[in-house]
Amino acid sequence: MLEIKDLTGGFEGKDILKGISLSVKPGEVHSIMGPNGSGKSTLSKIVAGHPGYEVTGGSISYNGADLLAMEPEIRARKGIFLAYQYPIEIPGVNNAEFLRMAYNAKLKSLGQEEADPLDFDELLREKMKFLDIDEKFRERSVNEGFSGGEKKKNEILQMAILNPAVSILDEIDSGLDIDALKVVAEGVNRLRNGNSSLILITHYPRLLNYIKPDHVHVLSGGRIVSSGDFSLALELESAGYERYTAVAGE
Amino acid sequence: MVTEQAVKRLQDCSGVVADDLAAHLDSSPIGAVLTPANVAGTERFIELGLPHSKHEMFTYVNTGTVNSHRYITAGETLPSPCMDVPPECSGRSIAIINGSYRPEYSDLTGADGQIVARHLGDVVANDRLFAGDLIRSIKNDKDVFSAINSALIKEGVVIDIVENAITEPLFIMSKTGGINEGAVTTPRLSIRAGENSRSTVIIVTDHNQPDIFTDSVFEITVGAKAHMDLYMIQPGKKIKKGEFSQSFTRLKVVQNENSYASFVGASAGSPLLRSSVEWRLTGKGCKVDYKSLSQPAGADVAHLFARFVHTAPECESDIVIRNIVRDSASVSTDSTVIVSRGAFGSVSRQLVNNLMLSGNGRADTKPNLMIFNDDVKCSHGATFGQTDPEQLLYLRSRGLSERRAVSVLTEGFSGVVTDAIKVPSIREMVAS
Ligand SMILES: Nc1ncnc2c1ncn2[C@@H]1O[C@H](COP(=O)(O)OP(=O)(O)O)[C@@H](O)[C@H]1O
Ligand SMILES: [Mg+2]
Repeated sequence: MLEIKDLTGGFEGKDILKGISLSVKPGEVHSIMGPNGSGKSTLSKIVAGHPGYEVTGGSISYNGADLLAMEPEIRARKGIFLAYQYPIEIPGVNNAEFLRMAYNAKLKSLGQEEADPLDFDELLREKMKFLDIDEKFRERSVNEGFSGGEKKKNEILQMAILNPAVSILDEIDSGLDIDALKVVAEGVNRLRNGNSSLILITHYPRLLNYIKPDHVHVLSGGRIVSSGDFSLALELESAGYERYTAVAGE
Repeated sequence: MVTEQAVKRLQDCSGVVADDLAAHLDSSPIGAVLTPANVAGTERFIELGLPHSKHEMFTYVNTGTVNSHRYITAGETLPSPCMDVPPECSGRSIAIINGSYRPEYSDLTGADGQIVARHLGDVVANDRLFAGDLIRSIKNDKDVFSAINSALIKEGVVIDIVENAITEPLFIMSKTGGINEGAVTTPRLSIRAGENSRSTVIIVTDHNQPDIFTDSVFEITVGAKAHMDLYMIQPGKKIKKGEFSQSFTRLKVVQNENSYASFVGASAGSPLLRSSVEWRLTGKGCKVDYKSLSQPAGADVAHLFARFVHTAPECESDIVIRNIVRDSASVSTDSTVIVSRGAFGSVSRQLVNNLMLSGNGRADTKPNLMIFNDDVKCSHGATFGQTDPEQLLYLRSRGLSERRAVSVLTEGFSGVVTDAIKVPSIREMVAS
């Protein structure tokens, strides 16, 4: 459903990604691992449509359509979701209200009526409860004053509300303690169904004990330098990235 | 006679303003109770002189229009105010129409005797202390438009919130309408919140009338240990394109020891709007949370000149000034926190944020600090910019269109100010 081919791009004329190809089929879980600065977040932002990043070559097709030609909001409405590594704080914008607007934008794109506010409220309560998010985060401004872990949970809450087809979770495990990690992982697992796909971007293999990937890729120096199954993650756990950073150094 | 001397001195000044003030003073009834105030205002006007752009206070204001405006007071036609009193203020409303206090349109039946309103003239005639303070205040005022207001007032209202009162919100509507074009109106309001009182005061200034100059002075004293939430709202304009109106407001607040005041000012924009604020923390341990939002659009001009003065120890001022600039509007903010020598342990934060929604708008910002002792914690800063691209992407990547995302971020930007309004219908009025 998501086909990335020979993708190159970055910003300010500098290619961070130097030719990435990745094929994600419905229901698959991919993990992209790699050292800091290897371009993982750059890839995720290009898929989400960040206008600050430039694509210099290659293509991304999504269910047969040209994803790169779509505005970020169209990508979102068609089921692409990015849980940001660093979720953005938006002071003055109520979190519950933001979630409701996002939910309604999705319904509208599906040709459905806006949700009844009371129904949405119930949906939100249920999802928050499941992700063990305190009620007070409804009335706060979006991500403002949230701890690192709370921000990550809020990202997964958005995922739970939007029910996307392809979710890219960028270092969703960073800043979470082990209990929060379990809650988040359980939440993500519950949201999976036969058709939705996951791309887990992570630096540490720890997360993969809770969400098992079908495919593991190592990104280094803007290239996928190795792909394999779960055993590749285990290998990284013991040997680290050194082998791959050497390759990327060329 | 003092009046005659003042008239004479005015006649030596050049310009229509001086002529108009002289004519006004000359025609004042002999022995009128506010004549000493008029004379003091006139003297002050002569001392300060008409503004020009070299005056620090008026750097950003086009003073041409105010200098050529006639200073003829409004006639006696006083239309019914048709005020929409918010439900939270039912039974507690004050009407000021074309600068005159109108008891017949006011209603304090829901105030339980805890709020008392009187004509300024009556208070001046019966309360020597108040009369003395009034003259002193006029003589010390650095704002020439405040002086002009004092030179012209025939009227005014004094509102007392009694000691230890706990009041529900009070609604004050200052409105202009139905008067000859080219006139000036001079609303004058004093509020005295007694010791240990708790009050919420909402002042709505509705002065967008073609070719009317509204020159208001609001003086507020917050008594010791009192708590006041003060909202000053200038609603959306009703003025037609090409028409001009100007509204100048002088707000002077004095806080006494251990008092707390929160302030939210919100203005929707007007052809020429100027607010001049002098906020004094004169008693030990008082605190102010000051927030303002200005949203000029079209060719509007909005100017804020604000001085926050810490004169007593251990006071705190928290200042957030936000401007949203649309079209070819311009906004300027000249705000200074002054910490006097004896004001040890002062804490002050001051932030001016300008959100520029068009490439043609203009924002000038000058946040300043003047500190005269070492034992203080003060910060100040200013930002300018369009909607933040990262915030914009965040919203868009959750499915919101770019237009919607910009409007959500704009609302969020103003929400930081308007959310501080604790009276729901006023908050909604400002947010819409
Ligand atoms: N907005 C940006 N401005 C400048 N450099 C950036 C920006 N984003 C990423 N980079 C640089 O691009 C490279 C890849 O970054 P990133 O994609 O965030 O890596 P990762 O997520 O794998 O840690 C790094 O060298 C980083 O410093
Ligand atoms: Mg990253």
